[in-house]
Amino acid sequence: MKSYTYIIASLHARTGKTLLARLFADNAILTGQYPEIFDTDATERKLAACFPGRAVVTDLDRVTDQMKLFDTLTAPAAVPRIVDVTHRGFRKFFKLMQEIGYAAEARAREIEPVIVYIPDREMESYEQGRILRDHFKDCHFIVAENALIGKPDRQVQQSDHYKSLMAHELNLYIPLLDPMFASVVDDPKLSLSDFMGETAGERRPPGELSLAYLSLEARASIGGWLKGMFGEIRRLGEVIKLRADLSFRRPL
Amino acid sequence: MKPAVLIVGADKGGVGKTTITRTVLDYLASKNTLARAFDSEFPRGTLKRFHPDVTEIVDVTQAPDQMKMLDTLGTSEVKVSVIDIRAGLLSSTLKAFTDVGFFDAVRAGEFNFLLFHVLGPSISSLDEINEVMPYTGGRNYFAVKNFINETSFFEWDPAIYDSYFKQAKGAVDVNIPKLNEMAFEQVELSGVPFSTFVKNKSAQGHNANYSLVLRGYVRTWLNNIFSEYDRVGLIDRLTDRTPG
Repeated sequence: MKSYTYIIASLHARTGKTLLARLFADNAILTGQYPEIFDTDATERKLAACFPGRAVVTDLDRVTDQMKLFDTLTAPAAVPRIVDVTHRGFRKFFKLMQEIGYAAEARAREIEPVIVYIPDREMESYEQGRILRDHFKDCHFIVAENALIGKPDRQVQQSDHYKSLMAHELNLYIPLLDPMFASVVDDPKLSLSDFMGETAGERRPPGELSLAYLSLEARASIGGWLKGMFGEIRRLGEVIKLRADLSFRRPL
Repeated sequence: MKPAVLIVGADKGGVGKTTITRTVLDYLASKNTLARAFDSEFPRGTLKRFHPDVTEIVDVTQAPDQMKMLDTLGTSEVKVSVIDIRAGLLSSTLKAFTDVGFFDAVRAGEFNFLLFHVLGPSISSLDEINEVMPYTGGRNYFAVKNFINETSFFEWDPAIYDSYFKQAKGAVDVNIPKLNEMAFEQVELSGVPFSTFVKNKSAQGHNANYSLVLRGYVRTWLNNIFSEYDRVGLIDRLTDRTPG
């Protein structure tokens, strides 16, 4: 049975990458599978903070950590794996991934690598995304568009890089969440998967965020947004599973 | 094909001679070129540990073992002989080969001879160039700079650099990049050729469980070295074809 490794990446900071990684992880939890989670930002450890004691933090500058990450990612798994690639380690991660032949090794062990790339408003991010997609043809590739970032300027939109990347057949749209409630979702103490089943006033363990203070409006807004996101992630998961079962390969 | 002898050596120790010999054997295998190897680290050979099937341990200072290497050149079905000379014995081995008439035979066109002179980052190592290069007659002398210890070979001092490398006319530079220490140690522990490590196989040919990351480092490093050997036309020179 195939398993899936989701590699969430962006060229620059503040693209919503860690939130997206978190959504992928929480989606797996909601479907009854506790994923293996890897945070490659050894400095800020934002994703690890959302899954305390569960996420593995790796420093891509250390060979032992590179082994801890990639050797684990090629070991057979029954659960999904989520890797949050820090923008500081973007080039290093994918260079290493290419040099060690990760994708081929993973596929040989029934593991399907899925790259989820979030461009921003800069031309370079579209260029790098296109290079990434065209280079790793043996990986599934999803372009994630974050509404919060907004559209790039006209010059970028008219570029071949932008047009090519945005015309990619697998894409995930991250809709805008009311800025008033965004900070709630950003709080690492809030479990997004738990939120979906939370009822107002429910008691939570000390140290975890209580949602009792949230207005019904806030809960409805956040809940609707999360429902939409989880729905999209599941839809894409189904498409990728279908493609993997059909041994789909992107054309060379 | 004419028999060919490739000597890998240096008078100075610790410059990575055996490591480079191992890469040469891997390279020749990748080019489907049969080779036999002689390990002069007598009586306990390091090269033989990694390439036991093709390696014989010899004492290069003794006539019987010199005969074993040279008298069989014309009769052996394997036409390429690689000799890994232990530290301190390069000059004396070349002199001994001169005395037995090996270089006369090379000049007469009976054999091809190539010398991989492995250099370390010291003046004494560079001083060896003038001593050993004449044995090659200005042909097929390879100044092998092994960057395994992140050395610079005095490139920061043009006067010193030029005095050694620019004056060594006809010398072919070969640059061996550095391999990640942990990857190197893992191959040492495994006791298999670099190419076998990359393929994730044990010495017995069974599937192994080496780290994917470390295998990746070794593969990239080995590919870079193979490109370097391609660049200097190693196969063509061994087989006496004009380097392309």
